[in-house]
Amino acid sequence: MAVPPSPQLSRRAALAGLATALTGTAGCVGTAQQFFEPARGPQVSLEIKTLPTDSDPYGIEIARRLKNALETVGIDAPLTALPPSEFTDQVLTEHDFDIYVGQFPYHRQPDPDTLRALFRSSFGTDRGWQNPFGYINYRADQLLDRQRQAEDRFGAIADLQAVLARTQPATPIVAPEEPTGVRTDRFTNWQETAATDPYNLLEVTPPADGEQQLRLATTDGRITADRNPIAARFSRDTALTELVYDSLLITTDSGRLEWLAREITWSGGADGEPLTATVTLRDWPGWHDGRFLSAADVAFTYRFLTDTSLGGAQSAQPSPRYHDRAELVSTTNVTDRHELTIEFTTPSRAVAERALTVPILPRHIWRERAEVVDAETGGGLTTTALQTANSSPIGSGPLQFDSATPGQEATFTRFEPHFLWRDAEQITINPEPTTDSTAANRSQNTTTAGSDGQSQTNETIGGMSANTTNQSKTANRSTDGVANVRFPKATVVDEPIEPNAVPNGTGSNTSTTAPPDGSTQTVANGSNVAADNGSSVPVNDSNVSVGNGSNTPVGNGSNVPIDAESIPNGTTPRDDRPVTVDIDPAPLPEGYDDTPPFAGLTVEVAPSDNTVVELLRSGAVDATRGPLGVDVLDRIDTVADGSVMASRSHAVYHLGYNTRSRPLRNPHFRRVIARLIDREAILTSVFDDNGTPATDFLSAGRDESPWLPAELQWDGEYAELPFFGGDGSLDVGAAKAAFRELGYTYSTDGELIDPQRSE
Amino acid sequence: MIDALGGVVAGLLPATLRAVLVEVIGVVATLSVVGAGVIIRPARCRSLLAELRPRLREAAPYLAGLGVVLLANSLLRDRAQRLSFAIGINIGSLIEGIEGGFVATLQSLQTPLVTTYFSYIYIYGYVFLLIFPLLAYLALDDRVTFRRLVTAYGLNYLLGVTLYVLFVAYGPRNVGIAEPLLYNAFPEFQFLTSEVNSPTNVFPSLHTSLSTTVATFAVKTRKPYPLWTAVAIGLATSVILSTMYLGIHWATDVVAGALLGVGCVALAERYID
Repeated sequence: MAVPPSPQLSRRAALAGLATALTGTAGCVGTAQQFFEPARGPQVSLEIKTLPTDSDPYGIEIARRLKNALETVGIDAPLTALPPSEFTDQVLTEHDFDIYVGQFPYHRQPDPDTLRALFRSSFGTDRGWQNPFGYINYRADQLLDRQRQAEDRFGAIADLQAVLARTQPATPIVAPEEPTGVRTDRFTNWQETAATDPYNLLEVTPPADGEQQLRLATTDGRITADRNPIAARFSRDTALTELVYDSLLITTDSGRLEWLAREITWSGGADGEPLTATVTLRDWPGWHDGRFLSAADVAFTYRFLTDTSLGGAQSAQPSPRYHDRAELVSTTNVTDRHELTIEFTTPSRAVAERALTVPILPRHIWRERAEVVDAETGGGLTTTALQTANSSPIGSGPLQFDSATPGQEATFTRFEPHFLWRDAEQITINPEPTTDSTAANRSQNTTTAGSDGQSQTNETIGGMSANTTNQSKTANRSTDGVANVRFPKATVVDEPIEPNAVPNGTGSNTSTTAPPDGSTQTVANGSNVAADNGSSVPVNDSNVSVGNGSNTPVGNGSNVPIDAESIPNGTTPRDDRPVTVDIDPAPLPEGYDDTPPFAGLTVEVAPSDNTVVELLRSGAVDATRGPLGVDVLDRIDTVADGSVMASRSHAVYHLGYNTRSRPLRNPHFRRVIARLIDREAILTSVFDDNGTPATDFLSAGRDESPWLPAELQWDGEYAELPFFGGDGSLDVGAAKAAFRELGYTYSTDGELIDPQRSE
Repeated sequence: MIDALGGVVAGLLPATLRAVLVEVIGVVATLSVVGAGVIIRPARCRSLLAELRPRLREAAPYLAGLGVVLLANSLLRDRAQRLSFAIGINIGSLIEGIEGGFVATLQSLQTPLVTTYFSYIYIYGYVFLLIFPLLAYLALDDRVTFRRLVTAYGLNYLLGVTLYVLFVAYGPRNVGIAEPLLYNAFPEFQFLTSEVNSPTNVFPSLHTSLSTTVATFAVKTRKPYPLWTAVAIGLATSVILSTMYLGIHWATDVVAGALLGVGCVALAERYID
């Protein structure tokens, strides 16, 4: 198409000819324009980030359709696929993104309180699934706080849904029907909904010929290298680490179930009385390393999730995953080895129960991880606890970690002493060499003394910290929330203890307490008193140390002489020998029986859904986890003994906007983008109709959801933000008009120009 | 001892991978035997067998060097991916901007037969293309070409891996541009390819660069092996096309790979006499 320059042509004519030739070639028009017309300003450009097809066959397809739509309306939309770890780093930690396409992190029905971490402005600088959008809306904040109150919760949530729909910090698109491939030749009785949800795996029927290893295939191999339950890296609510750690309550399809807690008694919540739960744990739950779980671990967990530095950092370092849940707890008070009371900051029991679903961490391991370190990604500081890969996780859950090859597989074994399967009426507790605990305690105290700078307050005498002051926060720095509770790993006493032989009430931080005598080597000493400073620092970050009711010794009856039959919880040991304890086996959680479902669990990592299904087909695995594309589902049906089980998931596919900068800072702009999405077309072409259009994050497209006001529901279209166009095609004119109404302009080649940036 | 080693290695591998490996080894071995008869010819085969020990000894340092490069590559692969996201440039959207739907257009010509052909070429044809010339050039009286070939292989890997770290991108099959035709038709092959490479290492195409290297040497050795020249060029072209048809590489990766392949031949000739 070049015009050969002839010596007769004037220069100007030659240029004009060149321009004509160039305008014939679409891509060069812009270039030609730049020569002959003044620049109009940079084109609006929004980068889309998502997972690759290998990790999620659906997200990328949605992203591609978004890209096409954006480019049709003149917005430059480069599409970048990132592996899951990189996606977490860039989008959820560094907040380096414009728009992402991803799944809401809850597969199970979420309580509306989950929206708080996602949309409250205060979380905007935090990592993980805590307001990655940087969304700031005063009204939404008010409603998010208000929905934690018992009265008019529904009203608050309805209003909140309306605000979120109007201002679109994120655009929900489709609630998927997530398919799981299972084989029934070995394990049978898979749950119909969410067959490979961790707690549902416990309910399979094992093969007739005895216990076998249940093998799963997945494309998400993070668990093979990283088993940290509290960091931001594991974003899904159904990660297998859930089975490694127990929680007081678990969430099932039918609601909350008591798990580690054998009984919870609620009180308060009205008339200004704080809502309180008195939790009784099951008898003697064990950790995978042989030690025993106690209420002190529970109290510690709440303190720790609120601040994994235990006061050692300038500002609290909460667990990104559980911060919003730990916030619900104001104080904990350990009253007995297996009993504690928890006071909440909300009067709503439904909300408070969220707090009881956190994994209970072993205090003896995690308190050593409170050290402040430089963060590897995202800058700033963090703690060892949030950085560690936790390669050998110790929990109290039904699955015990066995071994793993990063990127390939991870193997877990069934933890036989778990309360589900432990049918003994007695257990034997072996004495722990006492030097261990004092040494551990000594080292704990020295580190805190060192890091503190103001440390004279932490003199250690026989393992007890005698703090001289309680008033400032620094006092709390030396403790891990459970003061000097140290339940003996085993102590046994043959005869009743005289009350004054046990200087009780010394478990507190009050300075007036004289150090107990005879306590140097032994673990004992009123250590039953959980003078628990497990108070979480209130949200307003004041330095007033709160909940100091916990600093006073609790008269907990450990002064009462204890007869030889029962294990005393705080005594001076006479001699260390194994002791056998009667345990009272509480009834198992509803729906679970004591038949061991498997010998263990193995997770095999496969590079794509094609290979996941191939592993299922060849019999190498029993079930699949993770997204399976529409194309591979047919292949499962051809497998003998194979079938696909699909169930509606709440992990809604959505667009997430980074509202921290132009143009996405403008909610009107986001609303126009939201209207470029044709949910019906996406449902048909991407999901093959396996799912429902979603207009919010709580309802999974269900009309009967109590959380979604009628005017925001999907009924063939989304009235609040209707798609520009119909029948699967975008009405480009209408879309462009909408942008123009916002003050944007179009260049002559159809590029959307940001008016504030043009010359 | 090789048996024992083989047994150990086989035991470490999952069953699915083992099955594919056995297949590949079987096919390539068969083709090599055929090639030995038809291309290398019995005369040279006899002289090779007669001088096997000394020739292997002479080849050992080169093969060992290549072995080290391959081993290092496989051990560092995971860390290299993290590194490339940390320090490299993500050029996925850039490549897509340059070539758009070229690979998609190529895939629109798909038929099941063509897919099967290119799938076999991508796996069996490629491995044969790399292994056979080692045998053929070892059978020559002047083994300078052998040494250059092994060196060029090593350079391809070294430079290729460096470029992998500097540039990160997913291939067309992972960003919704093209279908993963290979893995749709033969999912078991992905067990093998995922052991050898990671899906963000697409720029440049090592399939292309190594095939180009082999074809270039084949042209240079057209005097002793005229048949191999034709076969190698045909096979290399098929391999290169397969990388795009199967949705694994962009055309940009192929162009870069071809340049790399030719460049490594030039470097090998310059430094190996």
